[in-house]
Amino acid sequence: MTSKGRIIVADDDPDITGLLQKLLTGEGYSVVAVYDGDAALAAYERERPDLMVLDWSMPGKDGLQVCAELRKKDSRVLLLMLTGQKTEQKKVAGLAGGADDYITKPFGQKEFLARIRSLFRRLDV
Amino acid sequence: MSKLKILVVEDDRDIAKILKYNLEKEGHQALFAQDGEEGVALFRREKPRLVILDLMLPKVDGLEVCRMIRSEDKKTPILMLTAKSSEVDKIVGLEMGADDYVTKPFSVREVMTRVKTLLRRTTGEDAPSGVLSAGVLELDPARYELRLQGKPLELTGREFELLKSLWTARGKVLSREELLERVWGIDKSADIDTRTVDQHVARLRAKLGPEKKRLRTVKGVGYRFIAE
Repeated sequence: MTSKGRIIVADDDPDITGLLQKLLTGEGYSVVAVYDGDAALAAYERERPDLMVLDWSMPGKDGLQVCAELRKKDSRVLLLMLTGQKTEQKKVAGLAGGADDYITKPFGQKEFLARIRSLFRRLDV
Repeated sequence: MSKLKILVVEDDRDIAKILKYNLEKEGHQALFAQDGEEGVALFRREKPRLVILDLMLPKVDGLEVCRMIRSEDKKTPILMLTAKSSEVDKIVGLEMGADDYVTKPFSVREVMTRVKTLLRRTTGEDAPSGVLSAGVLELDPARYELRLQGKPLELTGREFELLKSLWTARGKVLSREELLERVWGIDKSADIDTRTVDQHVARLRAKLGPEKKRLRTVKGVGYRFIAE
């Protein structure tokens, strides 16, 4: 089966990356998991993904730094922040920093997948 | 970001007022519809660049408005802004073609940022301001400068914007109509000669010298820029 798209998930919690991998591969996406910010940037260069799911608090560079660095060089890649940071200030900072969507933990798995599909639709039009 | 038409379909006047004030503060033009029927009619007539859509509306409800818009337009972003906050409602909205879903009560700052985020992707405006490089070319949006082997080239404003649009599209082909819309601000439906684009591309190529091959013509479609 051909992949619906390439996704990198970056989160220092292996339970979360494991869950996301299971959810997304179940939907037909190919998924690579990394556990810190620097690995997320390296994986971007290596894999050239369509979408990246970024946690905010990670060892090394945090999700916001990764998001801003990627957005500077790539206006097309889809960036989704998935984080426990719930304040308005953080949401605004994430979106203004280049994220296409911002989901807070705990998250609904079906809503997460619906938002991923919606993001991919945006990539296609 | 230039002034863009944003359609707000909302029957609550207080919310409509808050959105209008904030959209205008951002430099946009806010259009209003108080029910779903008027929303669809305004969408067809005004061709807005983004729609903020309530779900519970008189006459035609928001989901139906979304479905009608999506059946004729796949591109214009739709942000649903609604009191319906269950996961099922969100999924239905997103699957119906909404690009984002925000529940009431909402933070105005968050909604305005989400609007900006949706416009960034569909209009290509508010693109990253860092320096882009390809071979011996460097595009510096903050300084409005294009450098060839470190030396600034003399470009007109249109030539610069044309190159920037193609460059930031990262290899994606842009049609002449899309370029007219992005660079000249001319609506796709306007009857304008697309040869204007060809003439500007030809002038740009002449200035790019050894790097001119990066500006490719895609026959019958438009142009693309190859950065790698």
